[in-house]
Amino acid sequence: MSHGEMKGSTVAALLQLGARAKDAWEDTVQDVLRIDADVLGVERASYWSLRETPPSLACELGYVVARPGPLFERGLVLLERDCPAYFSALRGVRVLEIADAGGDPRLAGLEDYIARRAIGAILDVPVFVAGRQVGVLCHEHVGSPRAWSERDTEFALAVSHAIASALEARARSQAEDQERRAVFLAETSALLAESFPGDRVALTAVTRATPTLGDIAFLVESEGDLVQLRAAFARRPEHQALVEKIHRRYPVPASAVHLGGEAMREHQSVLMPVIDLAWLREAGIPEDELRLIAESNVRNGIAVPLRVRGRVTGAMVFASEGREYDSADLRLADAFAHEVAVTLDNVRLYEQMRAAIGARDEFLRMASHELRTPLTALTLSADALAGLVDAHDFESVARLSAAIGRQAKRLARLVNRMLDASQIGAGELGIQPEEIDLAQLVRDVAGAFAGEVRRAGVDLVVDAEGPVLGRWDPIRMEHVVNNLLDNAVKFGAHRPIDVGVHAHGGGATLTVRDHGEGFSRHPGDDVFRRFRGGLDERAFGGLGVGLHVVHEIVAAHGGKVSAHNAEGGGTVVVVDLPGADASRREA
Amino acid sequence: MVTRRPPVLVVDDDDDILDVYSVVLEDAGYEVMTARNGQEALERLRRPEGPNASLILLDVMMPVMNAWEFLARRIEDPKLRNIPVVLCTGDPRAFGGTPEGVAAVLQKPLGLDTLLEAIRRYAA
Repeated sequence: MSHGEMKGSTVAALLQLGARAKDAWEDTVQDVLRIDADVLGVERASYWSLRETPPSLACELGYVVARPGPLFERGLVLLERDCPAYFSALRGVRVLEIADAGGDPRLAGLEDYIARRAIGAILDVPVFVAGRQVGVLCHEHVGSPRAWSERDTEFALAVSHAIASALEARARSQAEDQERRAVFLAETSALLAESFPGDRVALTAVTRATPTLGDIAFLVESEGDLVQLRAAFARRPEHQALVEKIHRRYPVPASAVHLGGEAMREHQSVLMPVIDLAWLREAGIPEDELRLIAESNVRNGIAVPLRVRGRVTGAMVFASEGREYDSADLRLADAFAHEVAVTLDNVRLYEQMRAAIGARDEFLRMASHELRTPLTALTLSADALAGLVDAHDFESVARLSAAIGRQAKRLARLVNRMLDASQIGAGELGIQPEEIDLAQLVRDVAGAFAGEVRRAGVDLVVDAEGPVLGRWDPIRMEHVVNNLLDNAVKFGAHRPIDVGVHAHGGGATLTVRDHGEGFSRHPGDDVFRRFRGGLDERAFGGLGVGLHVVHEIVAAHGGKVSAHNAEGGGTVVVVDLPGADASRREA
Repeated sequence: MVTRRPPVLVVDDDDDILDVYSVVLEDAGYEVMTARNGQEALERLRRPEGPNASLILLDVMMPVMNAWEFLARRIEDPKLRNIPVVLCTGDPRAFGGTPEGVAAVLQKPLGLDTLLEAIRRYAA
């Protein structure tokens, strides 16, 4: 059968094929290209879609007559900047005929492509939909040059119309797509709502995103200066190795160059129509991972920020093998990411609330525990006093009265600490600075401890040659010194306690050192956090919030507090207070 | 001749509590020894010349050695394991009943009557 005889019936078949439903688009083009290659007698026939950013052609599907059998390929991208003459030759022609591909100036920049495939002649037809060029139908004859006949070009044009029909059919179904997307989002929302805790939400998000939004999906979140990978998922087994590599690469610094990072920094969605390996190499992606990306045929990527309550907390990245993302995909990805961000935020708020309630329960438990000791002393004393007076045992009466006095002071300090802690918890720690002598304040507080330290047999050495003047809140600072001395007495193993106050550069330094056991390990900053898990009893000295209260009061003054094990044993707490200007004033 | 009863050992990390216990128990006719934690209590009890105790009044949360570690050491020591122990704690329900080897658990704050009744009842 000659080409001419075949033409009529084949064109009819092609037109019929072109009218097939959108979800059969791939099958349609596959069939069209195979028949096309057979009829024209070329080894390679392919359809490439034209993309705008960057200007490029991407192979949607290519049919190759090869040994042992024909195969299809896709995903290759030609950038206009690499072969500008070819792109300009395609514009404004019905058909681009190149009988001898070797050395034709219109193929400048494509020499490597042509040589590797041993292409002898080319017959390319721009494909138009609604008057706009959307792609190119390419025919490549392998081997010697070939002069294209009029029949060849006419047939090629007919095929291009068939492909255009198929594209139009695909466009028509976009309205249906919209509906499908709305359903997809609603179902996603319901699925996410059932996920708990946060890691589970992330996992649901990435599995749900495939394949609708891409072949690979992953979710990253900011954590301080780092970006952490929360979940990654690939539906196809051939992408698993890549996902594992991605897992191993994180966490990365917040400044690192990557698609998700772009979205987080720019606060907007990023569409990468052509995954640029050179860009990724520049970004520091290891060579073995680049090879995996190249081998996996992942060609397109979208990154959308996770945005909630005006903050960007992370990003989701979707990558795809063959599809061309468009603005509708970006919108869908954005809406999807919004659902995920809101769910993650809700879960986080819920977890924070639960932790806060747990902390409050712990606070009440510790408070009740701490209050019981002085109350026991007071109750027993009250019960015993009358009998002792009757028996004229005034020495015992005096001992009990002294104990009552000390325990009453202690109760007052505990109550103050509870009040401070509760104000801190409510964000209402007010600081009312006034001109005070910190040295005098420390001497006064130490004086009030005199009975207690004498009773404990502790030597309290105060080095507070004043005056140390500045604008600080006298009541809060008294609480600071009280808390630090309480801790030192409690954990100082009845050994001496050194307290020092010194002026420096307009501010002041207060140090409290005991000679007890010290921290069982290096305390770090978390000793000042309220209600840590696995508590070090020292942090819970007094009311269990002593150091936390100190930290918050000092911070509210614009100062710093640190604690460490001292050389030669014991613990040193150092409070650095700025002068008047740096203190934060609150009503 | 009246045989002298061994003293009550009071273990608590608060000096005033030790002082108050001493005054009220001595007033009630008991001899009192004190220790600030489990470690000190063991040292007291193991002194060769020192008197044995008729009862141990034990606080739970203490630095150096808390009540649980003290109780474990006491069980290992045949000379100590028969001395009755009364625990004083803010939250007796936290233990889910009376722990093994403990005669009674008293809740803080406790009154004088409760304290004396427990000692009368359990002291060896």
